[in-house]
Amino acid sequence: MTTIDELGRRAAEAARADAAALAATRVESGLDRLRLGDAPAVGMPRTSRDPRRWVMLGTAMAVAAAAIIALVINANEGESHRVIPGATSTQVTTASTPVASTGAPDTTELTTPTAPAVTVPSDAIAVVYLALPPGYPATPIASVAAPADPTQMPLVAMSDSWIVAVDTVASTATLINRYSPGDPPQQITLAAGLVGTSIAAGPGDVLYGMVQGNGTDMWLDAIALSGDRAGQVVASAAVSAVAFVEAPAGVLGHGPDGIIDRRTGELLLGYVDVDGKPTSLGRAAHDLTAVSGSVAGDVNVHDPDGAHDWHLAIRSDPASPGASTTESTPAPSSHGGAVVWTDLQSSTSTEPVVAVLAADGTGQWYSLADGWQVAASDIDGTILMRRTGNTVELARLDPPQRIDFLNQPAAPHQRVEYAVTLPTTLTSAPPCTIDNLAVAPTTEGAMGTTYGVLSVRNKGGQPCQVEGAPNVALLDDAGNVVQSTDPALLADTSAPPVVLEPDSWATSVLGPIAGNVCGGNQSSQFRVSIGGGDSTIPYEVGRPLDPQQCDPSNRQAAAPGALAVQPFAAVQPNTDGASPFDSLHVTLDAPAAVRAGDVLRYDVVMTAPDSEQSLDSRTCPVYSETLGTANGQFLLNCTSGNGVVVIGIGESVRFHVELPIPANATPGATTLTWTPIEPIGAPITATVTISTTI
Amino acid sequence: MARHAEASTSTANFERLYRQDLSALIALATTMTGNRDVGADLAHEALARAYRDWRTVGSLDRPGAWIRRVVINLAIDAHRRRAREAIALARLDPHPIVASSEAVDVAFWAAVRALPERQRAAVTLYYVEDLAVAEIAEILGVAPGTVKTSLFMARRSLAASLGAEEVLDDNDR
Repeated sequence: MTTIDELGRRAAEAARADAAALAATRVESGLDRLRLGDAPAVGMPRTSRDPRRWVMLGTAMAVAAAAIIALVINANEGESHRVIPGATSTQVTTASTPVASTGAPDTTELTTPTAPAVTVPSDAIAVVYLALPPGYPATPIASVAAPADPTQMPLVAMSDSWIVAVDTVASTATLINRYSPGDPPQQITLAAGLVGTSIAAGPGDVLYGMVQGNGTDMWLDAIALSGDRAGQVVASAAVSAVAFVEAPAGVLGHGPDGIIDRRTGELLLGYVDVDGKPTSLGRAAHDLTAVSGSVAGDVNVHDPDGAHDWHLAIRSDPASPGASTTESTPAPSSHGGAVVWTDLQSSTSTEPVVAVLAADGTGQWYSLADGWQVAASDIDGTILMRRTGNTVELARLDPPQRIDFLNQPAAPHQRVEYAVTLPTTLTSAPPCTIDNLAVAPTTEGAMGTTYGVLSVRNKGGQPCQVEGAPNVALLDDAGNVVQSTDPALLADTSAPPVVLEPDSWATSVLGPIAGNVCGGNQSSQFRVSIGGGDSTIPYEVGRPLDPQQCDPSNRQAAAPGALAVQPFAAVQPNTDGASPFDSLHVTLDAPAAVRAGDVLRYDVVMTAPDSEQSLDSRTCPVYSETLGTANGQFLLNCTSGNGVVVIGIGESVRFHVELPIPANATPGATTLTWTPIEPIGAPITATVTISTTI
Repeated sequence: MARHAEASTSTANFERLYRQDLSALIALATTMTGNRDVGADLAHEALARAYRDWRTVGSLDRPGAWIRRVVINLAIDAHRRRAREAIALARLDPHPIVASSEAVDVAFWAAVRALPERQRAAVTLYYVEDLAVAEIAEILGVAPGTVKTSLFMARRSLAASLGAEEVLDDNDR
């Protein structure tokens, strides 16, 4: 029987002979093609990009988007397929998040007369040259001097302290305080000339980068950025030149013990401090692996620490000369996600795109417009850069927190967190009835005793007054009274009435409430009787302790005591807490135009430039929005996830909001105003043109 | 150790390498992609990249190893695209697939192209370039043991798919 080696050598011999014949006809023409091109270049320049292409691209996008959307909707009826049809004019963008996989690869394909079909797995986070994703709205936070060579861009890294930009020609590093990027930067001359496409920084004030040696040897150097040896190499390790001469972007990353080759996870150089002594990362490293699929552009990013993979599908124009451009190695982010970036190729342009992958397995592709490109991405964040004349601007790429619109109309003073008795000139008013009061019970605990606070709001259109103590009962699921107010315990019978203007509040304190009764007597409903009527609302108090924790020896009486009650009193404004909008930088990302009769959809972008900010049920604002005669007041959607939105230092959150535009709205350029009302914040404006046609 | 060497910028050196290696690079790319025209283009593209960065690449002890790595990367990308382009390629060129007209060679390279990427690259370098394990390891940027494992796995798969005898090569270099 013939062996594999015999087959292989025979096949190889034939292949070499055929190639030799072909090469004989190609060698001179090939050399001529190179001679006609550019002269050999030094190193591997990172080219800047022409932002003007986006003007043309944007125009074409608008034309093709409608057709794309229509086709996708039509094709998706009753299906879970992902369809990116061919385009007839130019590239258009789309974005996607993964949908549930159905097991076997689920793909589909459409064709048009002038563009090839693109097949995308249904469970993939896909980016396709025919439909570029939405542009990322980068905001410059700092700038550094651009390298003298206009084809060069700096190497950039972000550490736990600095944004480091290295001019490889001048061998200088510019250090920008990541927490205060507006501070004057520091500049350090480096003793080593860095090469390659990737550097890393930190922990501490140490920079890691590649240095070319003689022959095939390359080195990964650790360079101190502060201390007596600032700019000097404090540690070094040999690496394979073959492996790193044409390494993809972002190849260097932070591993558990040192700088790693992200492609293989290989430890290249252990962490050192500014004196070259071993040190540690001081936090967990987030390891990722990427495996290419059988189809070009399919990449599976695996997170060993998480329970999911991200399936990416990258589809450049197969007819483009650079369609084989590879994606970056996946860069882990500090919040359990990852960032991957690449250039999407078409026959006429190269579009940088970046995927921001969330810890829950979803992801979002963005186009980087206006010359931006990914400069660095690591556990300390992602930095974008673009060249503008003699400077290179830097911006942050933030996690994809984009929160949906909450269609919940709201008005000032509606929420108990902002309960306040509004000023009034009236000394008396008709008694409030239960029908024109909104009832909001809350409980507060202290020293093992639970007290209740009953807040009522005049939800009617006319003033009314509340007087004396309310009659309150706590009911179980069956409607039986568990605990109720006892008029004999009324603490103060001489309290004056409280006049409530519309949306004005009053409160009454109740208690103590039987909150820790073993084995029963729990209440699930709250009944209030005022003005001859009553209102019963679901409200759980006095639930028994967890049986595992219930100590029968401390069991309270089966019949809890009566509720003491205080008469209604006015509520003064709470001036304790500062508004988060004192510290948040807010901008509007709105379309340039909206058609009368349509819904204006835009994003409110909140950035925390100096300190972490959170929006919870207390600080999540009621906001107003106006565009000409269109207006609305809604509650922002801060509590849709874990009950709080946290905005880290330098990070942004996008709240999607909507505003219906009347069909008879006056056409023309109009000011869109978004204003946080409670808590109060400064109005934010943008200009939107109302049109009667698309 | 001496470092930061001056880069060799000799265009004559590059032209010499182009003439010497073009044939081998075409063979490498053709067998990996299954299309001789694509293979020729990829070989030229790899050499063009070397020319673009010749001051760095030319300073390497063995620039040919670097260029072969580029060829393999390009060929793997091209091969990934092939499923999508197969129909179009068939329309454009009904006889495009392999260099040899021998059916047995066609079958062999088709089976090689069905291997996982690393095995495919290792087998192709081993047979077409007639390289030693250490040289293949340098090009692929992996340990020699990894290459031996890849070759072993590849031979076993090829033997199964081609009905040949799986015999370890005593000359595993």
